[in-house]
Amino acid sequence: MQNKLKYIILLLLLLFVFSLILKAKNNDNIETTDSTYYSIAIHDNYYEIESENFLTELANKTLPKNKYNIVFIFIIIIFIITIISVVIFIYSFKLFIAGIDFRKKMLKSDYTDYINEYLFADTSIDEISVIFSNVNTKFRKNILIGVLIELYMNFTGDTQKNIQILYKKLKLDIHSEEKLSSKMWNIKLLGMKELSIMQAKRGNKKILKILNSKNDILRKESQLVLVKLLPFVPFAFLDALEKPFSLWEQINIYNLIINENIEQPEYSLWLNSKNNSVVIFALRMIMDLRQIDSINTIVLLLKHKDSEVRKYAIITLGKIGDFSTAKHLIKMYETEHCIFKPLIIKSLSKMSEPKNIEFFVSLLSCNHYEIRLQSCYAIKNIGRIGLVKLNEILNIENTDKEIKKSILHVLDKLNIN
Amino acid sequence: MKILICEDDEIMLKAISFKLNRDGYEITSAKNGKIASEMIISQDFDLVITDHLMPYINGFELINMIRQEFKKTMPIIMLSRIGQEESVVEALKAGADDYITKPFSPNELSIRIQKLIIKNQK
Amino acid sequence: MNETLFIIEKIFNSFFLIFSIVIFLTYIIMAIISAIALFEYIQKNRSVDYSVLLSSPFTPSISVIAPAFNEGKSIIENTRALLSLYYNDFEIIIVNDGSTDDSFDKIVKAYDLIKVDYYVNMRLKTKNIRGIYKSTNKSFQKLTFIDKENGGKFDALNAGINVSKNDLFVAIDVDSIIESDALLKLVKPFTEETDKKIIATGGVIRIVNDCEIIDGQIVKINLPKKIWTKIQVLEYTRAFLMGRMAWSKLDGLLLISGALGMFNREIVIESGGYADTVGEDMELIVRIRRYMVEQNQKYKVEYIPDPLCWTEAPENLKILGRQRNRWARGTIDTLRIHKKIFFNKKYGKMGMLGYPYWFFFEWLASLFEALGLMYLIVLIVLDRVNWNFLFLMFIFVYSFAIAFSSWALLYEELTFRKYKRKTDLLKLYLTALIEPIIYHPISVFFSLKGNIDYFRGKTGWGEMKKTGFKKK
Repeated sequence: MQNKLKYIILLLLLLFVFSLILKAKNNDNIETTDSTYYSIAIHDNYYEIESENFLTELANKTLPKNKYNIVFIFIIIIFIITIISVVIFIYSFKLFIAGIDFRKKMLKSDYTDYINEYLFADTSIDEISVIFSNVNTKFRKNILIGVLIELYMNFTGDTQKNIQILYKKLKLDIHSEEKLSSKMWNIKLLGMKELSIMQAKRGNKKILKILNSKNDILRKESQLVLVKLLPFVPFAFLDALEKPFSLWEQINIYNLIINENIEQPEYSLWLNSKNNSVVIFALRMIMDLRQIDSINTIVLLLKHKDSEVRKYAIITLGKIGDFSTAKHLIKMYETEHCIFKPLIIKSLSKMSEPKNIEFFVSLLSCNHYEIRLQSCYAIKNIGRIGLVKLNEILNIENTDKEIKKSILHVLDKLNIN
Repeated sequence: MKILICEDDEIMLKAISFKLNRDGYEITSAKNGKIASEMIISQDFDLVITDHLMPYINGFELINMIRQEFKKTMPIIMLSRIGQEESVVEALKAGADDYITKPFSPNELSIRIQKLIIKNQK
Repeated sequence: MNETLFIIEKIFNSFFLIFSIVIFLTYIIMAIISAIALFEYIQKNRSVDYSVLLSSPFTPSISVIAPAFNEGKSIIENTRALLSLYYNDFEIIIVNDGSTDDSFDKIVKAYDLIKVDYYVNMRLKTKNIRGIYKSTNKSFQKLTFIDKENGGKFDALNAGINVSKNDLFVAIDVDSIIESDALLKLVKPFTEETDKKIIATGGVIRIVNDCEIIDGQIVKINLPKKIWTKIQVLEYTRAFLMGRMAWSKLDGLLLISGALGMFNREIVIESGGYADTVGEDMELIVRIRRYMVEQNQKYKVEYIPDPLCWTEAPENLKILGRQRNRWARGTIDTLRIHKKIFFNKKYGKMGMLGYPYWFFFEWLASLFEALGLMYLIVLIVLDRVNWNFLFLMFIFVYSFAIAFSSWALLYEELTFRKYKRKTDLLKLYLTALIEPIIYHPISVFFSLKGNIDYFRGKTGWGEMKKTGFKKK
């Protein structure tokens, strides 16, 4: 088929070209009188606008009488100019970028070597400052900052401190601060990030101004930076937060807190926040840090208006796994006709006690996959008694097939819940 | 003492190599798990340091290959990040002897290496 | 008699002229919109540190679902590549859709798999699952392998969704190569969701032919050598960097390629999962969007222009023809199933813009083009052609096509610059020069054939022969 197609296309193309030639010849004969008329007209015009005349002539002489023809020709010329200029641009751009990339790579490698000498060998800070005195352009400074940040983020202790000293000694913090005054928002962002990573406080005033910026990303980043650079009120922003606090921001804050070893507050303080996303953040932090003291407040959240908050309250209680909260969850399970029933059982399975075994067994006949499965896990998690019970149910002949499958699933060690 | 360092970040790779070289070890570096696995087949190392997340073959699989496929017993140190504790446990199960969490102190790394090498010689 | 003919001719002429002008204008507008969208995306994400997602316990867990049918040649390497994707908490579900080759034995042996007692929640109806396997080796804890009876790609995906445990799932082709950080980039929009629910994110597909591949990962990116694949590189660049980027900006994106997309699992299940059609990827997006509208929920489909997924493109016309035929049929089928949306205000931009665009420019355009060619032939026979004007029009369309392609190449160069060699771009330019003349008529022919096949009631995928990635 492929070969046939090729021939057909070739044939069509040939036909097309051939008929073009034929037609062109015929047209010549017919339109001689017309063209002489036009050519006379051209002689009357001035030379300076010759090119335009040429086009007018082209449009009027050879094409049917239609005032749009000239427009088409102009558009075609624009297209062709676009094509050529794009080619030229792309190539020059490519060369430019290749050059920059090469220089970046070389400089990065050199700088890493020098810094290693300073960090791990006997080169002193003064010697290294002399070596780096040729770092005087923005381009070079940015690369050096990049290398320093990379090392700073991966090391701790004295090494980290030495990197910070070098950063300040080379006055790179001034360079980072200058970025805060840039008109480009992404350069501002970069400046903030650099200052916050290197713990340089000299830009704080400017960053405080950015806190009220109209740009969403800048505003959020400034919050993050201030958590780190103004350690006396790190979590004040949580009180002031009115907009929803997206998971992405929460992840960033989490990382910051962990990486910087910022002292953790009692997150139960924010469980009453009017901003539901702040409550959820607090719950997540409590879950991660296992701040067990806050379980009583969490239990109250089981009756919260917002369903997401209720959901996270259930999950958090499950993760903490305190036996005293089981009765609240069971109560919630029995009253609420809601979508969270499977979730409640899942949480309960982490605090299952022998006294609740009959409750879970009764759930096995429930017609919901997830509830059945989680009840099995709950029974299994009770320990030896639970395992015995599961095997017992499994061996009763007229046990429902679905229940048997759930039990087998739970008993298989390779299945992870 | 020959040490293989496998890490995909070039700056870190250079820094660690330099530091350990100063400590008097003979260092071979590999940019990814694939190169590392080839080197381990062809040469003998006294210790391997590997990052957790790397292109081609990640830290786990490298450890797994060293222990299961190549049947080599040299000590392995895994580099991981904060928040990846679970993977550390998995790494230890897979056959790593020790781990160190980034960010770390370079001196701590040296000490751990020393201890492992001494332990392995006994 | 002559007069009526003249009027008919006039009507036809103006119809084709207006249709083409509308198409050109649409393309130009899309080029502008996509430029804005790309610029915004790059500015916003240039300094983003995706690694925070790796070290936070808040990051959502995801399930990666990879249906495989007769992928024995590459299944082991590609599974390994999936296992080493950068992500902390994820499971990988390989679904063997009743392969007739040795893929089952190979994978079971390579990953120490044994059958487990797995109780599947059959929320989506699928063909019989013969068994679910897990690895006894601790390093492959993330891996789940489903062995089921053959039921087609949609069925395999549905089985994977049934077994998956996490709130988000990623559907991928097991034979395509996923960039290490693809999951991080796909999940980020989900973590940013506030008032609008994110229901799906999709990424750019690139062509992997002739790239150097080791162990399921790309070592060196090369421009494909064969002419047909080079043309497809151009096509993909235009489609992904201009078309879809613009549509995502307009919130009218109707297609996330089956090769890589992340979805909210619950919503996919609620709306009925993948459907039995050749264009199941497009159909799913239209359906979940429709579902959200009908549930009165605010939602968003996000699009990530970073090249995240590399896939093998057909190298010869025969297979390319089958693929295009299938795409054409998939498009028609989806449009038919959801014809209710057409210019329906209730469905917002999807109804007023997205669907009509697909209807007129993706489906009807090729039909009209074929019709136009036939009309031209009739005119030639009747000797009613002004050849000079025809020639002018030809040059006009031709230069437009090349200008459009070069614009797309410019976008690529300004953003991701994946083809490093200097000659690569020149080659792509030469390809752009011949594409409108040689390739375009063929692609019109293929989609015409797809239309004919569709209305004759032909279904099925048509065999896709894979060469498998060459080992180096």
